[in-house]
Amino acid sequence: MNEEYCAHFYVKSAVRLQRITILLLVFVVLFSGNLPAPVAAEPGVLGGRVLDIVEEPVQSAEVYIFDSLDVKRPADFISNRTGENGQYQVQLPPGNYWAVAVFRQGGGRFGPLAYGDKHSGEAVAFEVAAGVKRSMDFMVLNLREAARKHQKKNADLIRVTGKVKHESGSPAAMAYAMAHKLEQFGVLPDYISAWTDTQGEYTLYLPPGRYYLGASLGFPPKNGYILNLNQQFIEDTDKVDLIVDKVKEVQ
Amino acid sequence: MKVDRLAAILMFVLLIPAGAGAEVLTSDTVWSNEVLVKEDILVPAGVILTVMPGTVVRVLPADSTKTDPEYVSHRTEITIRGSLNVQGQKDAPVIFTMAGGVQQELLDSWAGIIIDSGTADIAWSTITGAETALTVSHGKLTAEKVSLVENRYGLIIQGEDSSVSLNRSIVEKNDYGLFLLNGGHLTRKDSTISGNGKKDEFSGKSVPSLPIRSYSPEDKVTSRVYRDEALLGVTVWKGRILVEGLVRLPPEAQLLIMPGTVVEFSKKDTNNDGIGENGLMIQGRLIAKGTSSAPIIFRSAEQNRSMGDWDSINILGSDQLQNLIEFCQIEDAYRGMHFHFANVAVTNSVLRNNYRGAQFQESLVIMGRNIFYNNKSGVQARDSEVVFEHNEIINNQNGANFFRLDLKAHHNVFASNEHDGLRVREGVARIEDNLMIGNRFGLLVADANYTEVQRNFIASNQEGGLALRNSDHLRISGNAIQNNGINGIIIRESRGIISGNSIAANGERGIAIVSYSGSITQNNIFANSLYGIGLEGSSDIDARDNWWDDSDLVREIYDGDDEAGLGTVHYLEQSAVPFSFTWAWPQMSGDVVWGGNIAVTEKVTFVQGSKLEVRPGTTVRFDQGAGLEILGVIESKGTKESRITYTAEEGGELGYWDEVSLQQAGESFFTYSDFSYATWGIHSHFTPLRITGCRFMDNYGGMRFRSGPVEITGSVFKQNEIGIRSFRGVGRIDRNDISENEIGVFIREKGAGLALQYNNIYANERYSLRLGDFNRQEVNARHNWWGGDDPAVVIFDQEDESYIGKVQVDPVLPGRLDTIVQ
Repeated sequence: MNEEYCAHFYVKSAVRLQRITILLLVFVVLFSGNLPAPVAAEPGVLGGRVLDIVEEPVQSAEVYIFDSLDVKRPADFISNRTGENGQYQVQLPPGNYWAVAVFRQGGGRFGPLAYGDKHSGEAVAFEVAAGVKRSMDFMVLNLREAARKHQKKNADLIRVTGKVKHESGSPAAMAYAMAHKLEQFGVLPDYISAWTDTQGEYTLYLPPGRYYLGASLGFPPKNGYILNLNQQFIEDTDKVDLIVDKVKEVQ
Repeated sequence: MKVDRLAAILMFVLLIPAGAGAEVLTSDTVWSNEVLVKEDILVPAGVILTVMPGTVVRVLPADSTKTDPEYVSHRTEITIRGSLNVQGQKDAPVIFTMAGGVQQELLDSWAGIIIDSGTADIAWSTITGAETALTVSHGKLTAEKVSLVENRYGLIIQGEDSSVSLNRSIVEKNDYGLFLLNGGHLTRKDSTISGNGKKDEFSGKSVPSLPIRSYSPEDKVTSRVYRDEALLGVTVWKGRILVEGLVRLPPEAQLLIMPGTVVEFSKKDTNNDGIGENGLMIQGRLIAKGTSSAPIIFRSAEQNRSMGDWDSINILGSDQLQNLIEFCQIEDAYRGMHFHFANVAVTNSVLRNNYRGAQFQESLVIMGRNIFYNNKSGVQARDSEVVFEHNEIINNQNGANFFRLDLKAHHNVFASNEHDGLRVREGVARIEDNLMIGNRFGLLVADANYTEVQRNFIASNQEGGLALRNSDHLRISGNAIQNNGINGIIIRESRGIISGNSIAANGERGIAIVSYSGSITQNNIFANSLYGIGLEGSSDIDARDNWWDDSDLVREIYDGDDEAGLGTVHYLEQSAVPFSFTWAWPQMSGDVVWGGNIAVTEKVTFVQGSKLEVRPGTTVRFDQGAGLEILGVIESKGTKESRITYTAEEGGELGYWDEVSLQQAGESFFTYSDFSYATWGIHSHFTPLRITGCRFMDNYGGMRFRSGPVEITGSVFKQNEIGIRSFRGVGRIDRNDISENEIGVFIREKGAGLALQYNNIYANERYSLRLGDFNRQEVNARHNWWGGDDPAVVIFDQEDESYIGKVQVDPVLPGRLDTIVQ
């Protein structure tokens, strides 16, 4: 099972089966073929909450339950639609199941997801025993959210982006951005971007903090450059435009 | 259940005597009796593997995500880069087979024997249970009395430099028998290739080579030699550097490589596996910042440089700073670049002649405007966040292989890779605006939960275009999937939406479906050779509201109506008109087919060697200023009953869109094609061109051309500023109707090469025929009808300006020609 998607749900209070119950189940499974007539088992219950990426309840979501790992087909059981509190519940005959949660922006119950609809990812396997209530929460994401959720970016770094421009305001291609804790640096500043493209766009990865920023066309930058934009960065920041070679020569 | 089967496998393994483990055979080796291959076997160059008579080789199958670049397949393989000598005999044949007791649906098959740049002589042998029994890729094989049975593919011969001699052999009961790809050669004698489930023989069509760039270093004298050592602090490299060991850069240290530096690695191969061990091991920070005029070169220091002479630029545990590799050329390595837990940007670089261009995991990587070519594997990555943009992955054995990434791959070219162009497994992927052409398989998406495949051109892949396997929440839209060798799309155990695509002219099926839950709607599906949709499973398919052109859907849908047990493809209701399809790619190569309703939003160039076929009934709508540039061939195949239209996206303004330009193009033609609101409908230079039955109306200019030969017949030029303009033109203009233009025909210079005869040229506002001030030559315009006017009045020539040429008009036709073909 995909560990990443496993992280999307939480088993809150799975009820442990008693040993005798397991033995009873084994007995029933082994000898059910010899029973004279089927006996309807007491259903179990699956319930819990459907949450979004910031763990807020999702209204109007549903949980689809399948009796096999093939979950790319109409569901065998579908929960009620969640209310404001994101709660769902569904009764199930005892057995092994796989479940996913789905939120459809446009309502509806069947067919493939539309753009912006949300899904909980890999199906979660679980077992329901007779008369037992089992609790599982799901997190539903759309594609963009899933992408963000899976980012491998070093959590300590923030992303600073913008354009390097000439003094005329036109984008500077084949330039780069620099960041350093001090106005001046030795051979290189601590942080340096890749060459800019024709649009002058750059990305710097920085630990949060206050930096001096600048940009240059030549590499390496000339000795004595003084970076002149001083700014605090505490989270990903965009539109930090820099003027190329706008630096002061050391007196 | 899995545990039981694995236990069975383990028991099976324990019961069989071990004969060979997984390894690179570093010296000549002999196999005899029973041999169990648990993992990959590689026979490197210079080594001979001999298999004695009567040997049974059992291979344990696996479909893994192995990362060693020297291996070719994802499955367990026996790869020959040296020599294989299988000495089976009539009474003691050799058998290669999958290790028994393993159910194929659980662990799939073993890869087979891959002769990769090596040679093989195989006699009296059977190969079975493999993905491909024998793959010959740039190698040579002689097979005598060989049976290739019950594999997925029997024999694949890949590349013009591959040759196989197949004597008294049998290829049968496979899914596919013989595949000849990229010009592989086969000679056969008394051999049978028949009784294969899906296809006995298939020959893939390769696409013309794309231009490939590389950097050339300046000659420099070696300025510094490094051996096994650690670089502390800040080290600057420039000039020519020789590395004769493993150079380490500990945390906090920095290596700055200046533009124009050449870094060379000598070969040290202590374990005799053919792969060098010298390289860079960076835990600090690497800044290799070349420029386009002064790139940085990393390469072998050996006199005869070859793949794998040195190890890699390894960047490990360096994610607190961004490492930069820009305008670099990295060649002859085992892995050109290798990152773990790193933050790296790689831009404008060339990675060639490496076992693998780049490999990374658990990293944050931006790759832009790089080219990966002639590597065994272009790039492989897993568990990383990757932006992969504007790269070219060309002519590798395997293109790009991404596992469990947060991936944004856009505007890349994956072309002419011998196996997959792009393979994506698990993870989250947005795959947009890429070209995937001429690979064996264009794009594979497997085991993915969220994937968008949008606006990709997936075409002319030799076997299949887009494969979707065991994936959910797929959105496949805006793609052109065409001219692929067998199937455009093949779907197995997946769910999603397939909408807004153009799926055309694929070798067998537009869409082949084993199992799919989802919708197929609002696509244009046409001109696929065998079936629009071919169903192989029992589930019903929702394929309503697609446009099928003039297809006979009873014949072109293969489902339960054709074979008992199959599901039903629900294709009613179908759309009576094509859906608008926006052409999202500015530069095209290979064969391209247009049908339905095409929107062109910018200039689209068809490069030399390409061919654009425009099918009858197609409408091409151009945004303002957009147009076509044809450097290959265009065949605009309108018919009298089903004309082709080239017009403006909106409005009715002369010159709204640009032109269809043919520049030194191949022999091209337009039949029953109509042009309106263009700057010039057609603008042709030095191109053999036929225009038949076309209409040029309400353009600034209908058609202009230089040289030729050009043949314009049966066409209408009406209500343009200029109907036809010739500059040093050569050709024939006859049986056309040229009227109500400002100037009907304008011959600017050197009109002697034209024959303008048997046309109706009349009612043009200023002149029906005007010679330019630089035309000194006589022009043949005999046998035309000039609307009853005195030709001298409607023609501007020597009669009007003494220094320009004269138009010969006699005899003048007395009445209107009614033989114009329209």
